[in-house]
Amino acid sequence: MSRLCKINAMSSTTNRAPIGAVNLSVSTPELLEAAALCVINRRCREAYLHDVRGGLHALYSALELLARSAQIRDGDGTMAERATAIARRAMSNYEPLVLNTVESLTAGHDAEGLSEVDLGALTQEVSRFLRADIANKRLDVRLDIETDVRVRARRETARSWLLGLLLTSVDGSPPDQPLTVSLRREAGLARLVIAAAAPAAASAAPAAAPGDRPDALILAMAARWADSHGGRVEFAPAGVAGEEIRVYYPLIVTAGQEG
Amino acid sequence: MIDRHDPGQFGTGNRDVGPLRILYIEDNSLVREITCELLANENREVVALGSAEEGMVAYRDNRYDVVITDVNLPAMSGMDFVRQILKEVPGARVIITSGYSLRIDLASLGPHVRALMKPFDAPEIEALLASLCG
Repeated sequence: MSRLCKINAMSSTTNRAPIGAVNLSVSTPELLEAAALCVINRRCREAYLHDVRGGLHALYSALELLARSAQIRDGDGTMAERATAIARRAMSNYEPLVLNTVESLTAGHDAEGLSEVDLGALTQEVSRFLRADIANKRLDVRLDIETDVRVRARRETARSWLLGLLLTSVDGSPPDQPLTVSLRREAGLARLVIAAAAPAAASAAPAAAPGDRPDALILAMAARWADSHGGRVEFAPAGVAGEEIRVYYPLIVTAGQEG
Repeated sequence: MIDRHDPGQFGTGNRDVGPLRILYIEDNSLVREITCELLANENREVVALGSAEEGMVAYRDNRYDVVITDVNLPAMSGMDFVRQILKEVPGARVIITSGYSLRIDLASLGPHVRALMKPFDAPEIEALLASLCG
Protein backbone atom coordinates (compact mmCIF):
# COMPACT_ATOMS: atom_id res chain seq x y z
CA MET A 1 0.00 0.00 0.00
CA SER A 2 2.96 2.33 0.40
CA ARG A 3 3.16 3.19 -3.27
CA LEU A 4 -0.55 3.81 -3.42
CA CYS A 5 -0.45 6.17 -0.45
CA LYS A 6 2.36 8.05 -2.10
CA ILE A 7 0.34 8.39 -5.26
CA ASN A 8 -2.71 9.68 -3.44
CA ALA A 9 -0.72 12.21 -1.54
CA MET A 10 1.01 13.65 -4.57
CA SER A 11 0.52 16.88 -6.39
CA SER A 12 -2.16 18.90 -4.70
CA THR A 13 -0.99 21.97 -6.59
CA THR A 14 -3.66 24.27 -7.87
CA ASN A 15 -2.73 26.72 -10.59
CA ARG A 16 -4.82 29.85 -10.90
CA ALA A 17 -4.71 31.64 -14.20
CA PRO A 18 -6.53 34.94 -14.59
CA ILE A 19 -8.20 35.31 -17.95
CA GLY A 20 -9.91 38.66 -18.29
CA ALA A 21 -12.26 39.06 -15.35
CA VAL A 22 -12.49 35.32 -14.73
CA ASN A 23 -10.22 33.26 -12.50
CA LEU A 24 -9.91 29.69 -13.70
CA SER A 25 -8.95 27.12 -11.10
CA VAL A 26 -7.08 24.20 -12.61
CA SER A 27 -6.23 21.29 -10.38
CA THR A 28 -3.30 19.26 -11.67
CA PRO A 29 -4.54 15.90 -10.34
CA GLU A 30 -7.94 16.52 -11.89
CA LEU A 31 -6.38 17.31 -15.22
CA LEU A 32 -4.23 14.20 -15.07
CA GLU A 33 -7.22 12.07 -14.16
CA ALA A 34 -9.27 13.53 -16.96
CA ALA A 35 -6.46 12.79 -19.39
CA ALA A 36 -6.13 9.24 -18.07
CA LEU A 37 -9.86 8.70 -18.46
CA CYS A 38 -9.65 10.01 -22.02
CA VAL A 39 -7.04 7.37 -22.81
CA ILE A 40 -9.13 4.60 -21.28
CA ASN A 41 -12.36 5.75 -22.85
CA ARG A 42 -10.68 5.97 -26.23
CA ARG A 43 -9.69 2.33 -25.87
CA CYS A 44 -13.30 1.46 -25.02
CA ARG A 45 -14.62 3.34 -27.99
CA GLU A 46 -12.12 1.72 -30.36
CA ALA A 47 -13.16 -1.71 -29.11
CA TYR A 48 -16.86 -0.94 -29.44
CA LEU A 49 -16.33 0.57 -32.85
CA HIS A 50 -14.66 -2.68 -33.83
CA ASP A 51 -17.73 -4.56 -32.60
CA VAL A 52 -20.08 -2.20 -34.40
CA ARG A 53 -18.18 -2.67 -37.65
CA GLY A 54 -18.33 -6.43 -37.21
CA GLY A 55 -22.06 -6.18 -36.56
CA LEU A 56 -22.56 -4.03 -39.64
CA HIS A 57 -20.57 -6.53 -41.64
CA ALA A 58 -22.91 -9.29 -40.49
CA LEU A 59 -25.93 -7.18 -41.43
CA TYR A 60 -24.57 -6.33 -44.89
CA SER A 61 -23.75 -9.94 -45.52
CA ALA A 62 -27.14 -11.14 -44.31
CA LEU A 63 -28.83 -8.71 -46.69
CA GLU A 64 -26.65 -9.98 -49.51
CA LEU A 65 -27.72 -13.53 -48.73
CA LEU A 66 -31.37 -12.47 -48.72
CA ALA A 67 -30.91 -10.75 -52.07
CA ARG A 68 -29.28 -13.86 -53.51
CA SER A 69 -32.07 -16.08 -52.24
CA ALA A 70 -34.58 -13.80 -53.96
CA GLN A 71 -32.68 -14.00 -57.25
CA ILE A 72 -32.21 -17.73 -57.53
CA ARG A 73 -34.79 -20.42 -57.95
CA ASP A 74 -35.26 -21.48 -54.36
CA GLY A 75 -37.89 -24.20 -54.75
CA ASP A 76 -38.86 -24.89 -51.17
CA GLY A 77 -37.67 -21.53 -49.85
CA THR A 78 -34.95 -23.14 -47.74
CA MET A 79 -32.29 -20.61 -48.68
CA ALA A 80 -34.60 -17.65 -48.08
CA GLU A 81 -35.59 -19.10 -44.73
CA ARG A 82 -31.98 -19.59 -43.74
CA ALA A 83 -30.99 -16.13 -44.95
CA THR A 84 -33.85 -14.61 -42.98
CA ALA A 85 -32.82 -16.46 -39.83
CA ILE A 86 -29.25 -15.23 -40.22
CA ALA A 87 -30.44 -11.67 -40.80
CA ARG A 88 -32.53 -11.83 -37.63
CA ARG A 89 -29.55 -13.05 -35.63
CA ALA A 90 -27.41 -10.29 -37.07
CA MET A 91 -30.00 -7.70 -36.09
CA SER A 92 -30.50 -9.02 -32.57
CA ASN A 93 -26.73 -9.10 -32.05
CA TYR A 94 -26.41 -5.56 -33.27
CA GLU A 95 -28.60 -3.82 -30.70
CA PRO A 96 -26.41 -4.44 -27.64
CA LEU A 97 -23.32 -3.43 -29.60
CA VAL A 98 -24.83 -0.06 -30.39
CA LEU A 99 -26.09 0.42 -26.83
CA ASN A 100 -22.64 -0.36 -25.42
CA THR A 101 -21.04 2.08 -27.79
CA VAL A 102 -23.44 4.87 -26.95
CA GLU A 103 -23.00 4.16 -23.26
CA SER A 104 -19.22 4.35 -23.56
CA LEU A 105 -19.51 7.87 -24.96
CA THR A 106 -20.92 9.07 -21.66
CA ALA A 107 -18.20 7.55 -19.46
CA GLY A 108 -17.25 9.68 -16.49
CA HIS A 109 -16.59 9.24 -12.83
CA ASP A 110 -19.46 10.83 -10.96
CA ALA A 111 -21.62 8.85 -8.60
CA GLU A 112 -24.90 9.32 -10.45
CA GLY A 113 -26.66 6.61 -12.37
CA LEU A 114 -25.73 3.67 -10.17
CA SER A 115 -27.16 0.44 -11.43
CA GLU A 116 -26.71 -3.28 -11.02
CA VAL A 117 -23.57 -4.36 -12.85
CA ASP A 118 -22.45 -7.92 -13.53
CA LEU A 119 -18.76 -7.55 -12.76
CA GLY A 120 -18.01 -10.97 -14.29
CA ALA A 121 -19.53 -10.11 -17.66
CA LEU A 122 -17.80 -6.73 -17.58
CA THR A 123 -14.42 -8.34 -16.83
CA GLN A 124 -14.85 -10.75 -19.74
CA GLU A 125 -15.82 -7.91 -22.03
CA VAL A 126 -12.95 -5.65 -21.04
CA SER A 127 -10.44 -8.49 -21.35
CA ARG A 128 -11.52 -8.87 -24.95
CA PHE A 129 -10.56 -5.23 -25.60
CA LEU A 130 -6.95 -6.09 -24.84
CA ARG A 131 -6.56 -9.04 -27.18
CA ALA A 132 -4.10 -7.27 -29.44
CA ASP A 133 -1.92 -6.15 -26.50
CA ILE A 134 -2.02 -9.66 -25.05
CA ALA A 135 -1.16 -11.26 -28.39
CA ASN A 136 1.71 -8.82 -28.98
CA LYS A 137 3.32 -9.87 -25.69
CA ARG A 138 2.33 -13.51 -26.06
CA LEU A 139 0.91 -13.41 -22.55
CA ASP A 140 -0.81 -16.46 -21.22
CA VAL A 141 -3.94 -14.84 -19.83
CA ARG A 142 -6.13 -17.02 -17.66
CA LEU A 143 -9.59 -15.80 -16.74
CA ASP A 144 -11.18 -17.46 -13.75
CA ILE A 145 -14.44 -15.59 -13.48
CA GLU A 146 -17.31 -16.59 -11.24
CA THR A 147 -20.71 -15.90 -12.73
CA ASP A 148 -23.36 -13.64 -11.25
CA VAL A 149 -21.03 -11.34 -9.31
CA ARG A 150 -23.31 -8.33 -9.10
CA VAL A 151 -22.41 -4.95 -7.69
CA ARG A 152 -24.07 -1.56 -7.59
CA ALA A 153 -21.99 0.82 -9.64
CA ARG A 154 -21.95 3.19 -12.54
CA ARG A 155 -21.26 0.79 -15.36
CA GLU A 156 -19.12 3.14 -17.44
CA THR A 157 -16.98 4.01 -14.43
CA ALA A 158 -16.54 0.37 -13.45
CA ARG A 159 -15.55 -0.43 -17.00
CA SER A 160 -13.03 2.42 -17.04
CA TRP A 161 -11.16 1.38 -13.91
CA LEU A 162 -11.34 -2.29 -14.83
CA LEU A 163 -9.87 -1.61 -18.25
CA GLY A 164 -7.31 0.68 -16.66
CA LEU A 165 -6.18 -1.99 -14.19
CA LEU A 166 -5.97 -4.69 -16.84
CA LEU A 167 -4.19 -2.41 -19.28
CA THR A 168 -1.69 -1.50 -16.61
CA SER A 169 -1.10 -5.15 -15.71
CA VAL A 170 -0.73 -6.24 -19.32
CA ASP A 171 1.67 -3.40 -19.98
CA GLY A 172 3.70 -4.17 -16.88
CA SER A 173 4.02 -7.86 -17.67
CA PRO A 174 7.16 -9.16 -19.37
CA PRO A 175 6.55 -11.10 -22.63
CA ASP A 176 5.60 -14.79 -22.51
CA GLN A 177 4.43 -14.64 -18.91
CA PRO A 178 1.15 -15.71 -17.32
CA LEU A 179 -1.40 -13.14 -16.24
CA THR A 180 -4.27 -14.38 -14.13
CA VAL A 181 -7.53 -12.57 -13.60
CA SER A 182 -9.92 -14.06 -11.08
CA LEU A 183 -13.23 -12.86 -9.74
CA ARG A 184 -14.93 -14.39 -6.74
CA ARG A 185 -17.70 -13.66 -4.27
CA GLU A 186 -16.19 -13.54 -0.82
CA ALA A 187 -17.87 -12.53 2.44
CA GLY A 188 -20.25 -10.03 0.87
CA LEU A 189 -17.61 -8.61 -1.41
CA ALA A 190 -16.64 -9.07 -5.02
CA ARG A 191 -12.93 -9.97 -4.96
CA LEU A 192 -11.10 -9.29 -8.19
CA VAL A 193 -7.46 -10.35 -8.34
CA ILE A 194 -5.10 -9.54 -11.19
CA ALA A 195 -1.84 -11.43 -10.75
CA ALA A 196 1.02 -10.40 -13.01
CA ALA A 197 4.64 -11.51 -13.26
CA ALA A 198 5.84 -7.96 -12.64
CA PRO A 199 4.71 -5.02 -10.53
CA ALA A 200 1.84 -3.37 -12.36
CA ALA A 201 3.12 0.15 -12.01
CA ALA A 202 6.82 -0.51 -11.78
CA SER A 203 7.69 1.90 -14.54
CA ALA A 204 5.33 4.64 -13.52
CA ALA A 205 6.64 7.72 -11.79
CA PRO A 206 4.02 9.10 -9.41
CA ALA A 207 3.81 12.47 -11.12
CA ALA A 208 4.09 11.16 -14.68
CA ALA A 209 1.66 12.67 -17.13
CA PRO A 210 -0.68 10.04 -18.53
CA GLY A 211 0.26 8.92 -21.98
CA ASP A 212 -0.98 5.72 -23.49
CA ARG A 213 -0.14 3.88 -20.26
CA PRO A 214 -1.15 6.00 -17.29
CA ASP A 215 -0.06 3.32 -14.81
CA ALA A 216 0.22 4.78 -11.33
CA LEU A 217 -2.54 7.28 -11.88
CA ILE A 218 -4.95 4.54 -12.92
CA LEU A 219 -4.15 2.54 -9.82
CA ALA A 220 -4.79 5.58 -7.64
CA MET A 221 -8.06 6.33 -9.40
CA ALA A 222 -9.27 2.75 -9.07
CA ALA A 223 -8.35 2.75 -5.40
CA ARG A 224 -10.20 5.97 -4.71
CA TRP A 225 -13.22 4.81 -6.68
CA ALA A 226 -13.41 1.53 -4.77
CA ASP A 227 -12.92 3.38 -1.49
CA SER A 228 -15.76 5.79 -2.19
CA HIS A 229 -18.14 2.85 -2.66
CA GLY A 230 -17.14 0.94 0.46
CA GLY A 231 -14.49 -1.18 -1.25
CA ARG A 232 -10.73 -1.12 -1.34
CA VAL A 233 -7.69 -1.91 -3.48
CA GLU A 234 -4.66 -3.79 -2.19
CA PHE A 235 -1.31 -4.81 -3.59
CA ALA A 236 0.55 -7.97 -2.65
CA PRO A 237 3.66 -9.74 -3.91
CA ALA A 238 3.04 -12.66 -6.27
CA GLY A 239 5.71 -15.16 -7.22
CA VAL A 240 9.32 -14.05 -7.43
CA ALA A 241 8.92 -10.59 -8.92
CA GLY A 242 5.22 -10.34 -9.54
CA GLU A 243 2.42 -8.42 -7.98
CA GLU A 244 -1.24 -8.92 -7.34
CA ILE A 245 -3.79 -6.18 -7.53
CA ARG A 246 -6.76 -7.06 -5.38
CA VAL A 247 -9.98 -5.11 -5.66
CA TYR A 248 -12.75 -5.60 -3.13
CA TYR A 249 -16.17 -4.13 -3.84
CA PRO A 250 -19.49 -4.62 -2.01
CA LEU A 251 -21.75 -7.19 -3.59
CA ILE A 252 -25.45 -6.93 -4.11
CA VAL A 253 -26.36 -9.93 -2.01
CA THR A 254 -29.35 -11.90 -3.18
CA ALA A 255 -31.04 -14.86 -1.54
CA GLY A 256 -28.79 -17.92 -1.55
CA GLN A 257 -25.60 -15.93 -2.21
CA GLU A 258 -24.78 -14.79 1.31
CA GLY A 259 -21.11 -15.24 2.08
CA MET B 1 -0.83 -29.73 -61.09
CA ILE B 2 0.62 -26.88 -59.14
CA ASP B 3 2.90 -27.82 -56.28
CA ARG B 4 1.26 -25.98 -53.40
CA HIS B 5 4.32 -26.42 -51.22
CA ASP B 6 6.65 -24.75 -53.70
CA PRO B 7 6.79 -21.00 -52.98
CA GLY B 8 8.06 -20.47 -56.50
CA GLN B 9 4.81 -21.66 -57.96
CA PHE B 10 2.34 -21.06 -55.19
CA GLY B 11 0.88 -17.61 -55.00
CA THR B 12 2.14 -16.34 -58.30
CA GLY B 13 0.80 -16.52 -61.80
CA ASN B 14 -2.46 -18.23 -62.69
CA ARG B 15 -3.92 -20.98 -60.62
CA ASP B 16 -4.27 -24.42 -62.07
CA VAL B 17 -7.68 -25.93 -62.74
CA GLY B 18 -9.89 -27.00 -59.88
CA PRO B 19 -11.87 -25.13 -57.28
CA LEU B 20 -10.32 -22.14 -55.55
CA ARG B 21 -9.52 -23.27 -52.04
CA ILE B 22 -10.04 -20.59 -49.42
CA LEU B 23 -9.08 -20.73 -45.77
CA TYR B 24 -11.12 -18.25 -43.77
CA ILE B 25 -10.32 -17.37 -40.14
CA GLU B 26 -12.82 -15.39 -38.07
CA ASP B 27 -13.63 -15.83 -34.39
CA ASN B 28 -17.09 -14.25 -34.51
CA SER B 29 -19.28 -17.25 -35.28
CA LEU B 30 -22.06 -15.29 -36.97
CA VAL B 31 -19.68 -13.31 -39.17
CA ARG B 32 -17.82 -16.52 -39.97
CA GLU B 33 -21.00 -18.34 -40.94
CA ILE B 34 -22.38 -15.55 -43.12
CA THR B 35 -19.12 -14.71 -44.88
CA CYS B 36 -18.49 -18.36 -45.52
CA GLU B 37 -21.91 -18.62 -47.19
CA LEU B 38 -21.17 -15.57 -49.30
CA LEU B 39 -17.78 -16.80 -50.42
CA ALA B 40 -18.79 -20.34 -51.28
CA ASN B 41 -19.92 -21.29 -54.76
CA GLU B 42 -19.52 -24.18 -57.16
CA ASN B 43 -16.00 -23.04 -58.06
CA ARG B 44 -14.75 -22.65 -54.52
CA GLU B 45 -14.09 -24.65 -51.42
CA VAL B 46 -14.17 -22.60 -48.25
CA VAL B 47 -12.88 -23.87 -44.94
CA ALA B 48 -13.84 -21.54 -42.09
CA LEU B 49 -12.14 -21.76 -38.69
CA GLY B 50 -12.33 -19.74 -35.48
CA SER B 51 -8.68 -19.31 -34.47
CA ALA B 52 -5.26 -18.67 -35.94
CA GLU B 53 -3.90 -21.81 -34.29
CA GLU B 54 -6.48 -23.97 -36.06
CA GLY B 55 -5.79 -22.04 -39.24
CA MET B 56 -2.07 -22.73 -39.02
CA VAL B 57 -2.64 -26.46 -38.69
CA ALA B 58 -5.09 -26.46 -41.58
CA TYR B 59 -2.79 -24.39 -43.77
CA ARG B 60 0.19 -26.63 -43.18
CA ASP B 61 -1.93 -29.65 -44.04
CA ASN B 62 -3.48 -28.25 -47.17
CA ARG B 63 -1.79 -25.06 -48.42
CA TYR B 64 -4.89 -23.19 -49.50
CA ASP B 65 -4.95 -20.92 -52.56
CA VAL B 66 -6.08 -17.92 -50.53
CA VAL B 67 -6.15 -17.13 -46.83
CA ILE B 68 -8.65 -14.62 -45.50
CA THR B 69 -8.20 -13.73 -41.85
CA ASP B 70 -9.48 -11.35 -39.24
CA VAL B 71 -6.81 -9.48 -37.28
CA ASN B 72 -8.33 -9.51 -33.82
CA LEU B 73 -8.34 -13.18 -32.82
CA PRO B 74 -8.04 -14.88 -29.45
CA ALA B 75 -4.51 -16.04 -28.48
CA MET B 76 -2.45 -15.87 -31.70
CA SER B 77 -3.30 -12.68 -33.56
CA GLY B 78 -4.29 -12.56 -37.20
CA MET B 79 -1.14 -10.58 -38.02
CA ASP B 80 1.14 -13.17 -36.41
CA PHE B 81 -0.77 -15.83 -38.33
CA VAL B 82 -0.22 -14.00 -41.60
CA ARG B 83 3.48 -13.42 -40.87
CA GLN B 84 3.94 -17.11 -40.12
CA ILE B 85 2.22 -18.13 -43.33
CA LEU B 86 4.31 -15.71 -45.37
CA LYS B 87 7.43 -16.97 -43.67
CA GLU B 88 6.60 -20.51 -44.75
CA VAL B 89 5.18 -19.57 -48.15
CA PRO B 90 6.44 -16.13 -49.19
CA GLY B 91 4.14 -15.91 -52.19
CA ALA B 92 0.98 -16.80 -50.30
CA ARG B 93 -2.17 -14.90 -51.22
CA VAL B 94 -3.68 -13.28 -48.16
CA ILE B 95 -6.56 -10.95 -47.42
CA ILE B 96 -6.51 -9.32 -43.99
CA THR B 97 -9.82 -8.06 -42.61
CA SER B 98 -10.43 -6.00 -39.51
CA GLY B 99 -12.97 -3.92 -37.67
CA TYR B 100 -10.13 -1.78 -36.33
CA SER B 101 -8.51 0.90 -38.41
CA LEU B 102 -5.83 -0.92 -40.35
CA ARG B 103 -2.38 0.56 -39.96
CA ILE B 104 -0.50 -2.06 -41.89
CA ASP B 105 2.30 -1.61 -44.40
CA LEU B 106 1.00 -4.22 -46.82
CA ALA B 107 3.94 -3.88 -49.17
CA SER B 108 6.29 -4.98 -46.41
CA LEU B 109 4.32 -8.18 -45.93
CA GLY B 110 4.37 -9.41 -49.50
CA PRO B 111 3.21 -8.82 -53.05
CA HIS B 112 0.00 -10.79 -52.70
CA VAL B 113 -1.34 -9.37 -49.46
CA ARG B 114 -4.44 -7.21 -49.41
CA ALA B 115 -6.51 -5.66 -46.63
CA LEU B 116 -10.18 -4.97 -46.22
CA MET B 117 -11.85 -3.06 -43.44
CA LYS B 118 -15.16 -4.21 -42.03
CA PRO B 119 -17.88 -3.74 -42.91
CA PHE B 120 -17.23 -4.90 -46.44
CA ASP B 121 -19.74 -6.18 -48.92
CA ALA B 122 -19.64 -9.07 -51.36
CA PRO B 123 -18.48 -7.04 -54.39
CA GLU B 124 -15.50 -5.69 -52.41
CA ILE B 125 -14.18 -9.08 -51.38
CA GLU B 126 -14.94 -10.53 -54.80
CA ALA B 127 -12.88 -7.75 -56.38
CA LEU B 128 -9.96 -8.53 -54.10
CA LEU B 129 -10.20 -12.24 -54.79
CA ALA B 130 -10.26 -11.50 -58.52
CA SER B 131 -7.20 -9.26 -58.24
CA LEU B 132 -5.31 -11.93 -56.32
CA CYS B 133 -6.39 -15.02 -58.19
CA GLY B 134 -7.24 -13.78 -61.63
